[in-house]
Amino acid sequence: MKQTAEGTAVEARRLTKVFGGPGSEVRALDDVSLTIAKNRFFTLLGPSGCGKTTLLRLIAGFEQPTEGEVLLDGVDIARDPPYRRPVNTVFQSYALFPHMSVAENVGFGLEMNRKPAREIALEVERMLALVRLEGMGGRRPEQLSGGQQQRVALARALANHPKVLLLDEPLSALDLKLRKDMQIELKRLQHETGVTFIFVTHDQHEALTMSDAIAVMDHGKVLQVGTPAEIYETPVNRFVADFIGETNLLPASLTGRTGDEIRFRLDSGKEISGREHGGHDTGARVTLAVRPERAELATGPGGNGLPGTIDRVVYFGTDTQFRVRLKDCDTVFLVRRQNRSGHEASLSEGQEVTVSIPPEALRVLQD
Amino acid sequence: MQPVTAATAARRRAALMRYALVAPAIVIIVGFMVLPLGLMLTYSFLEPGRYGGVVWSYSPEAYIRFFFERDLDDSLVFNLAYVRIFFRSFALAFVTTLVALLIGFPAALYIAMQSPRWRNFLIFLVTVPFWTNLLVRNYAWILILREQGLINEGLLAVGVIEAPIRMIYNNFGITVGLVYSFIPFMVLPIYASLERIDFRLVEAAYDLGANRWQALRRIILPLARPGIYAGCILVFIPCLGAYVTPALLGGGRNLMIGNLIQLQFGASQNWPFGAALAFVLMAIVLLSMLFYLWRFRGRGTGGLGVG
Ligand SMILES: Nc1ncnc2c1ncn2[C@@H]1O[C@H](COP(=O)(O)OP(=O)(O)O)[C@@H](O)[C@H]1O
Ligand SMILES: [Mg+2]
Repeated sequence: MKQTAEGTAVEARRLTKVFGGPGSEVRALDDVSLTIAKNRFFTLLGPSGCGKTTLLRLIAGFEQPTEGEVLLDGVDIARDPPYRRPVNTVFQSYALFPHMSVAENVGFGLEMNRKPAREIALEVERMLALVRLEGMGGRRPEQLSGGQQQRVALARALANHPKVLLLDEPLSALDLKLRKDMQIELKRLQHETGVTFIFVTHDQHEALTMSDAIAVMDHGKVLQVGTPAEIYETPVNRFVADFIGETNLLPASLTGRTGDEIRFRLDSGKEISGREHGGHDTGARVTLAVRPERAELATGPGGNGLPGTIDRVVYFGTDTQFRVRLKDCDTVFLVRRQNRSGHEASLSEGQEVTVSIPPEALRVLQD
Repeated sequence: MQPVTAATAARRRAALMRYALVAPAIVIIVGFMVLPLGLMLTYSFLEPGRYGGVVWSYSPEAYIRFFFERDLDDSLVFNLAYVRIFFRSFALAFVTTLVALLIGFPAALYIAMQSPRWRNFLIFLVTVPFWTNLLVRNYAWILILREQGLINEGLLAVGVIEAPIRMIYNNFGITVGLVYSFIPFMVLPIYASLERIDFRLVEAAYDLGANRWQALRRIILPLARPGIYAGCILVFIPCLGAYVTPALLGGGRNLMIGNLIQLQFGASQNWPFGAALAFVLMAIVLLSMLFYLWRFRGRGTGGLGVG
């Protein structure tokens, strides 16, 4: 029953939130503009303290913006109290009402909206079935496991049929196995209900695997918005590249271009070439980024290569990570190689190798 | 066998240790509760001595006297004077508890929503009246409420009233004094239970569409219920036995149980009757507490609901 409604669910316009008085100001959000399309799984990703929760609380209405507007379906709601917004929240702590049964928790929102008792009972049943907690309605929250409580919180927030569901690090309290299950579960729920999910996490893995779109945040600013592939493959700056996945960062200067070949000189004096210049001119200082799985290792001299010595080999099951200490500079370069056949040409620690970088794999970052 | 005897000895020592540890509690309970109460119960079934004290011979007279009066010809006549004082005491205690709750709950809620440092300061302020003597505080209320008191003079000066309003030496004065004296006992336990509430629950309620009033009624009140019950009990029971406030602000005309009991050990020189009154009061309080426990059994936050 996925709706195909197009358009914008939530829009933040130049949102700024400052906590505390003069002298002890904390700029939790700094001029954030963001457009979130309807019926998406949208993720806010960033390190702890970057303002993710603040942004959610502004959308939910628990905080008032210092400046800027929050639009829901094109209407500015920044001054509406939380109980008048068609937005519901799944709290990190679940915040289930301890003195009510599971069914009363799930039906609470409907009751507040003065729905008739019979309708509430039916809807509660439906919601409990949706989160696979049939027959648990009579229990107390404290009688449920963490994962079950999480589902109750979801059912409770979805029972009101919100336009937008806000989820603040909902999985961080669960252990790894349960977390993986709930990731799939959340995706299913989003798909089945067609509600726009705004999901907060500081876990880049979670963000990459679950989202239709990701906004990467740091220090109260949104640095980049895009699909997981865009964020991973073409990070706009050093922070994004570093925060999402592993990456090798190489300081260099742009030395020249011939045709579509752009040449860089690393600080070690080695020259390598790439395909993009990131808008920089010859002579500019740049940071080059290479994902570990895009580089290759050769035992002889390889094309577009950097010589080095294998420092450490770490076996990861699906792939193997090689830490290569580059020659003439004190940089460790990570290379990951898929373990396809199970008996790849063995490379051992201490071996001299060349890290070969395909020109297309070289990204030029803004700082 | 050696190990078995050693184990038995260890077990005996542990048992002995347990008794030794509860001994102080037992001494306190026996010394401070069982003995005095036993003495009172005994006294209530004895005859009064001529100049106070008791005569050691059995007599149910004290309990009969509670309901009946002895006429000159020794026949019993129904007498509701004492029962009426009991009723008035219960009514005053009830009204006092209600008023204290209506003032105390919002106060406790307000305090609980302040920043931690400010909170502690406010709670400290709540306890400040305890620093001065109860008598002094009640006299202060006389100065405020009497016909030439602060309020009447003020209202007269502004011209709101033409003649002073009578605010002491009646039930109103007693209630004001009682509410004032006991309100910290309402605020403190309610505050203690409010302080433990996770205010994210209130946010969750707002989020689900509850307005302020609904959040208060459906989330805060139920979660503060243990504190509210405790506060009501802590105000109601001492109110019943209040002595100083009705004596001063009631002007001796509006007796409460406490004054009646005091009278028996003082001017009336009827110790058995005093003991009997105290015992009846205690029995009523105990029975209502038991009823309350039975009625609300398992309704606490930790109770397991039957699924
Ligand atoms: N109520 C508040 N008062 C003062 N500072 C706050 C408040 N809420 C958040 N902050 C500050 O704002 C910044 C962003 O916080 P938050 O949005 O919770 O980050 P995140 O959820 O990304 O970890 C942090 O520096 C935090 O200390
Ligand atoms: Mg947060």
